Amino acid sequence: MGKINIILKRELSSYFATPLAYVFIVIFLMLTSVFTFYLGNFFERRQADLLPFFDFHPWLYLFLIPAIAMRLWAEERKSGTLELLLTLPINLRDAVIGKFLAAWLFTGIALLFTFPVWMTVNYLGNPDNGIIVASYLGSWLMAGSFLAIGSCMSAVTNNQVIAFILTVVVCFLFVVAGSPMVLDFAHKLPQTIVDTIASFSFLTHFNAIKKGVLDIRDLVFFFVMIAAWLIATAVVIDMKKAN
Amino acid sequence: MTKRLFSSAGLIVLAAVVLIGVMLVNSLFKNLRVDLTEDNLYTLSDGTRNMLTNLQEPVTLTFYFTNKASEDLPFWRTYAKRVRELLEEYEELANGKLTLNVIDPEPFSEEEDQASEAGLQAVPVNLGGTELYFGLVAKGQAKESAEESITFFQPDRENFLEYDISKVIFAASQTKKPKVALVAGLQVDGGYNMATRQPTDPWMAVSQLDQLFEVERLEDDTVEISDDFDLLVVIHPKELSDDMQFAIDQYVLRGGNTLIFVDPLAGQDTGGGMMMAMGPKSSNLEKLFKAWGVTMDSKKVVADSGYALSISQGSGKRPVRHLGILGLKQQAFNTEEVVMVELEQINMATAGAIKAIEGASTKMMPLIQSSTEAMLMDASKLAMMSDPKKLYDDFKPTGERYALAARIQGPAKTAFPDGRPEKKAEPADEKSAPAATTESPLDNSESADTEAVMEETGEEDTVEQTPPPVGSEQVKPESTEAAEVIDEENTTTVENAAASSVTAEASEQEEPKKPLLAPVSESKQDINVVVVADTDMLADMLWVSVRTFFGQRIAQPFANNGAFFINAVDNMVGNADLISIRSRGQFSRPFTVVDEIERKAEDKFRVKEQELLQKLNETESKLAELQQQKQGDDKLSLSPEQQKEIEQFQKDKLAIRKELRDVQHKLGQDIEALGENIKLLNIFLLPLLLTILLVISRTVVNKRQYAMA
Repeated sequence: MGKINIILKRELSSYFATPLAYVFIVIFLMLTSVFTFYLGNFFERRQADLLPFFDFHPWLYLFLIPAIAMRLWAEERKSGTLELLLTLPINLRDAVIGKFLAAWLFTGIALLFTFPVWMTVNYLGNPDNGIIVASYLGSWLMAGSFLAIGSCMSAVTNNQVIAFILTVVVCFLFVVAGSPMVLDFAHKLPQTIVDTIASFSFLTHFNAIKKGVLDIRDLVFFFVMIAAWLIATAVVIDMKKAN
Repeated sequence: MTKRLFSSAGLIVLAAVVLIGVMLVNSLFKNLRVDLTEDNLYTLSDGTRNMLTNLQEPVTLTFYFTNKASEDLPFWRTYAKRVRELLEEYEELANGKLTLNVIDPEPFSEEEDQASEAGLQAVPVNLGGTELYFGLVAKGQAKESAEESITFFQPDRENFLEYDISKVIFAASQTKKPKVALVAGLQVDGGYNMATRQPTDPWMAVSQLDQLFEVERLEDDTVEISDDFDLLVVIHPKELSDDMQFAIDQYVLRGGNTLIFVDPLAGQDTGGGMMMAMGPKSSNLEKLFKAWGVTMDSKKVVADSGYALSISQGSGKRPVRHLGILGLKQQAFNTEEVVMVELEQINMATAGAIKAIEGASTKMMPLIQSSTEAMLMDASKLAMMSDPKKLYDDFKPTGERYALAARIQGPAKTAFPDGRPEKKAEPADEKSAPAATTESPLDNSESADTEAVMEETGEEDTVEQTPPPVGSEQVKPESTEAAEVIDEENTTTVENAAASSVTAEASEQEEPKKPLLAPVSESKQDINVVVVADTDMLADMLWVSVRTFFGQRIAQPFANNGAFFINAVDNMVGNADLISIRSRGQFSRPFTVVDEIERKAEDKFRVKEQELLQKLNETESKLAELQQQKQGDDKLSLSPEQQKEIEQFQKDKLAIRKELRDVQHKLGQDIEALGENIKLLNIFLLPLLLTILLVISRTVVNKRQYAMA
């Protein structure tokens, strides 16, 4: 745990060492608000909830999270520091978890900085804050899953741009798996297959949490996703190392 | 090479494990969740859960919502989503006993025909005339099961969404009409009024009961009330035999739902009719009440100046507010109780007060309460009183709110710890003993006192006592409260009313007697009793005017007494689970700040509008004056004064109209400005400010670390 902590701190501070983190945060905050107020018609709906705010999170994450995740391993590999990192007295597992946790915490910070929207809705009416807390948690878990996928994709290639594109593609598949366009298309397939496809959708699970209900199935799904993609990251790095 | 193979295989194994794991988790961990919503919106109450697990037969639910046409109606879509999710919740909890179909009845489609065949209504929901189907149909599998529906989900009934849905599901799973046992100590089925020497009609409230349920009258010699009954209704239990009291006690303890109307002074109690023996007009079930943890003093009547109604004193005299005759409004009702919802006024006369006994195992929940301007008065004072004004002499409000009707729930013990009462010798038939007419203001006579004028309702003559031809069949009333209740509550149909009521004579010819059940000493589950401390409220004169039109009895309710009675019965014949479902939390959360701005502007607008109207009236009356002053040949032409007046009037009108437009415009502007400020803050100012703060704090930390190093 101590070693994971060391990596986490090193990685997290490296985020804030460059202007990239601040640019990311500004863009994230502005985009969430633009989407909420213009596409989601937050003010015109006149309902004191944050549905229009959270509705766009999966689509925002689809492009913003790969941007954070792409450098996780690809950069290390390209600059040759990966070998150095692996020769240090830490094992691969610690490195993978530490790097992931740092990125996840960073997205958590960005998410926390959206609190003005929460304050706004509390000023305008009396929202159900329980639902908002659940939605934030769901959003953060979903961000974690996006990051874990990104981590694996970043390990696959040493080109950050390719890592970005790969992450976007894989994440997109996981997002749309539960959307009507896929489910309508899969309508002719047996119900079990349709249900299975839908059960792998970030959207389905996030929407369920967004209602304000923390179902063990949704929580386990996101944790399984994170764990599985992190294991895959380790396996891929190990494979590459063997090469 | 081996390692690589191992790794690739590892990835495939990992993918397989995840796939199987997620599927397993989905099928294994159902209903393990935390509902973080403020009002536990997604947690169905235990009542619903129990009802779903005990459904008599599988039910198919069809949810209709016009999806496509509602794209621009976020309010309706959000509400429909909430309803749909709740229905999915039901489906999940019912373990296969409930099937949910969702249908979007697009205009001119087969689905639309299907929706309208099921009795659903397309309701216009905006000024553009968009019509929505938004209802639910529940159908049990058995052929004889009724099709129940919610014709339209009214957002104002959102608090009772769970109750409404549970009710239709429960009703659809039933294969027969609910059975109600009736014990009545008054001539509720009509009879003969010795005072007026006229036959009396059945009470409209009881007629409604007959129409909606299978009602069986029980005689005083009943020794056991069968569990087959879904509800027991007791009206004016006066000197009930021990056998009957024991039967009621046991029925209640075995979990039977019971609705009791008692009265410290029953105006409809003519004591049997003849001239002598003016006995007490009170009824009580003291012994049983005590066992259930409540009391009602049968010598005290609630006098309440807060809800007192005016009654007529006869021609030429001013109506007087009668402290004992109450017109109870919504503030008197416990609106968290489903039975009290949508009721506006209930009239009661000389009602008693129900009180909880301290330390009782049961819980008493008032349904109707007096105002704080009330006190308990001796019933004898009201019985002998001839001038209602005299009641004010001794009137000193206590500030307490008295419960006039209450629900009693909880565990209870028997009122007969020694078991079944021993059979006594046949008591003398007191009921047939002659009794004198009385001076109560509520006697069913034609005296001046009885013409209680419900001023608030604007009904001068409450009852037209036109008796139907003797021996005529009871007819189905048109546009009665009952009919409304049937429509709204989607309960059983009204047909075959006469056939459903089983008379006592018929029940006597039943199959051989069954052995009596072993007495129970305490309730296995919570008892469920509703006590109303007034019997007069059920009598027609307090709530409905009945007129005879070509042999048909036409009822025009002027108070909700009948609706309350049927609501209560309807609610209680469900089952205890259904009754336990209380109101749910709020779903719609409007922007209160924006609403406030709108409200203020509207107030302003209304003031201006009022101003305009007043000026208009003034000018018009001035014009009329001028018109009257005109004489002779001037009649047809306008005088210069009139001309000036009209011009001035038109100028004023234009000026005020402009002002009105400005106010309206300002209202839009205020809200728009608020929206724009909020957008600006959230999109630009706050994100930039927060990031700058983050940069500053990071720089400070860096400097500190550098200095320390």
